[in-house]
Amino acid sequence: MNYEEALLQLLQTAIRTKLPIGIKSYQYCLDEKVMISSAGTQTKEAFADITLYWEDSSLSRHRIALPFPPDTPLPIHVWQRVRYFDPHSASLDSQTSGHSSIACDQSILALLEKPFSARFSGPLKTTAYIHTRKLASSHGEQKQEIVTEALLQDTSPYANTVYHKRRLPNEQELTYLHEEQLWMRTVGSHVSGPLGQRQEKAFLLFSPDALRAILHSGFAALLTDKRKREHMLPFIRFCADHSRLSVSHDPYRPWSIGTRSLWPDGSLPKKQVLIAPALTELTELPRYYEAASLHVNHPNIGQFHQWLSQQEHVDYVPHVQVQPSFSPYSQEMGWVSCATRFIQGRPTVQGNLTFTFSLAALVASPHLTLIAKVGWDGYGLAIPYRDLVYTP
Amino acid sequence: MKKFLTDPLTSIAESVMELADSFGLLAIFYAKHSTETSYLWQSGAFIRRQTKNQHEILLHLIFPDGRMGQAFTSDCSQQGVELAFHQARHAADLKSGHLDLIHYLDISEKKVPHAQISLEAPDYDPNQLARHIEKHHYELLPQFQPDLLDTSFHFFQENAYSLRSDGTQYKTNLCKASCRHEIFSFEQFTSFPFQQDWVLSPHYAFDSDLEQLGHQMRRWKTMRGRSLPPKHETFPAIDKIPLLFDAAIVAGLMNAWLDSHDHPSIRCSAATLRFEPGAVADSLPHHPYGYLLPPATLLSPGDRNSELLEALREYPPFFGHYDCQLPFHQDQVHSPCAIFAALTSKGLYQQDRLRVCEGISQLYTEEKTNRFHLLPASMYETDLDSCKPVAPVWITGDALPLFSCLLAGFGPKQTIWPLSEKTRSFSLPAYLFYHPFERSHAS
Repeated sequence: MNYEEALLQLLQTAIRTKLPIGIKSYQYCLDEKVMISSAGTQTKEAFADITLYWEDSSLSRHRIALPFPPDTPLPIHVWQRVRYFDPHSASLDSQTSGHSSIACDQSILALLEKPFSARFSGPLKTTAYIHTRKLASSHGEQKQEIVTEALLQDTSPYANTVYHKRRLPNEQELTYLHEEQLWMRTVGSHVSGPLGQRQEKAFLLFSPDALRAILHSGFAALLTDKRKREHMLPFIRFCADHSRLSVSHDPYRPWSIGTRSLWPDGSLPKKQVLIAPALTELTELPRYYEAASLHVNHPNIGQFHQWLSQQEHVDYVPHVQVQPSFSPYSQEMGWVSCATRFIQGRPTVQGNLTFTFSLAALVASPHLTLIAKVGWDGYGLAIPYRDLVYTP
Repeated sequence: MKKFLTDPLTSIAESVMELADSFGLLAIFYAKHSTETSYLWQSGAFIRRQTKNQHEILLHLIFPDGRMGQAFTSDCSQQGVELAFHQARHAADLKSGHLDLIHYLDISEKKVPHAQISLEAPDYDPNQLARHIEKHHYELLPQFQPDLLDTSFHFFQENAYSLRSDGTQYKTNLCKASCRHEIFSFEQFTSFPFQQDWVLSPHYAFDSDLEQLGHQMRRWKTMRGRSLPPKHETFPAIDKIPLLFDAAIVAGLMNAWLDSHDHPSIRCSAATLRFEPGAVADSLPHHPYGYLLPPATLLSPGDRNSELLEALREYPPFFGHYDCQLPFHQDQVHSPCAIFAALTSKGLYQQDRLRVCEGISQLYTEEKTNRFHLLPASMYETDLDSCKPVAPVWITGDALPLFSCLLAGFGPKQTIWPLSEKTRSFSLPAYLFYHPFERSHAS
């Protein structure tokens, strides 16, 4: 019996149980994640988010890990005690989902059919995932989404070569990644403390993940909360007047990790522009918004190696820690556990790095350049250190 | 509710023992089931309630030649557990460290007088506890407007069951609760969390702890106007500068220390750290290797208990309380000026000013290097007469020598749970004197 059949059986038993207040209907979202690793392992994790609708018009919400222990009913007597009234709850509608062709790589699905030894090759550690999301209700509505994910990374300490998308890399990309892996390993040294002094005209290069972390905490996360949203309007208008950068929440970007076709409540994600030249309206982000769906655009776009070779000094930030939320105008501190310093286009030293920035100064920088690189999910962003904060 | 998971598993556990017998192996079966009920209120409105159920099984197989195999599964069916059994059998290797650990756990468990083994916690109604939290939320709300107040309450019930080839079996039950208030300040555009956690037992003080939490939040509000915004620079040469940390910071650093690697390099300690779960919970911790873990000294001047340290870091995590004893402790002295006077008169500090750090604004630890990076919520400079706020700066240091640098404690001891940490609590004085110069003396 598969997980869904077992879950249905549990729910059918629950709905038939005699209780002082019975269960009228149910809805569930079953998320299964199969992980296949080049280390020779294959695991499966699953959980179900269940909403029970009770006869007194209340509802209760529950998450259970699957498979559920054998011969064990759902603890509905306990669940009955945590039901509540939610006037805003929406039940599953009959909209259909789509676009799995840009988020589901058939070659990852095919890995399941291959013997372990024939699944992966090459020196990078590869992990592939298959996420299956199934939504259904006791009224018979059903929706399904299958998305895949491929993560390739160098296993050596302090390595920077990473590929993370919804599809496996093609041959050309793979050849590039192997070459980059060797090149990144030529880094001269690693210091346990901070990177030393930087040059006057040094640049900071944020990976797409690091850039998303800053955009998320500095404004996007605040757009999900109606109590905070209005306070972002001056910043949106500031960007419209002072920046050529646009930021969108786009769950439809082909092969991006943030691409999804179905939220857990059954609603369909939609593309929303958050910041753009001349955009002066606030956008409301949904509860299921994910930072991975943030994408940027700008007229200045450079290619990683070409741009890097033209710079004297670049500090590369693969990941950054910032406060969970901050004002776009405040001076903030970013902390990087392992930054790589490139001098004249060559990796020279790695160490930790702290830098001060304000999001408003960052987006308004006249020297801002977006950077494209094989393996990145979206653009990185390059900016001179001196533009990170306003200097009166 | 307590028997919800464990009963069907006892027969599966027994079948694992039979299977192990047929292969001539010793087996340890451990299953943990946890239920979490969470509640959320935002700005005076109840938002949602949700339950979460999780379970996991851990198997250990010991071969006659000393090899050992380990497997995890969340599939509690007979088939799933048998699959895990064979995975553990095939993955077996000579993990001598693990065998030493089992030997240590066996010896430790034998020291526990049987009368002291209390395994069952009473049942608690999460809804009843949540009503106290809801009331607290409504009481606090007008005091913090126009800032936003979000309150969450989490109630955890953990049932663990273990069976070993020697026939020893345990069923334990632990209830934990956690209340978190988050004030979102429009002025700073960031959230400030305040949290109180409990291991529930007949002696816990729910209402007075909530009152204390409210007091802490009101104090923060009063101080907010006086403390200075952080200065974005790193404190120079922190490894050479003595500081006075509050208990919240030290609990965060101790947590980082317990998670850090390369413990064998730690040879000296000025402080004594005891693993004392009984101080806050009635039951003894149920180790995932199927043993009950009694209190013991983890670190003391001149000695460290490596086996216990390893045992405490095993997965899945289990609750543990730690008590820290310092070489010098004055529980009646707790204002920074009085602490400065005490340190000077004892000859522990000779300079004319001392930096005081309170609360954690940000704390990161580097897994590979064990270095910590701390931005305190507030910093002060104190001398004999005054305690003046200064702008907080980043403090970077090495987490490993922490216990050789903690030399003195001030103020009454309190139980501190590091933020977002549900498995460890610490008993610490209100302020602790951190002196990196003294490291060499302590060794």
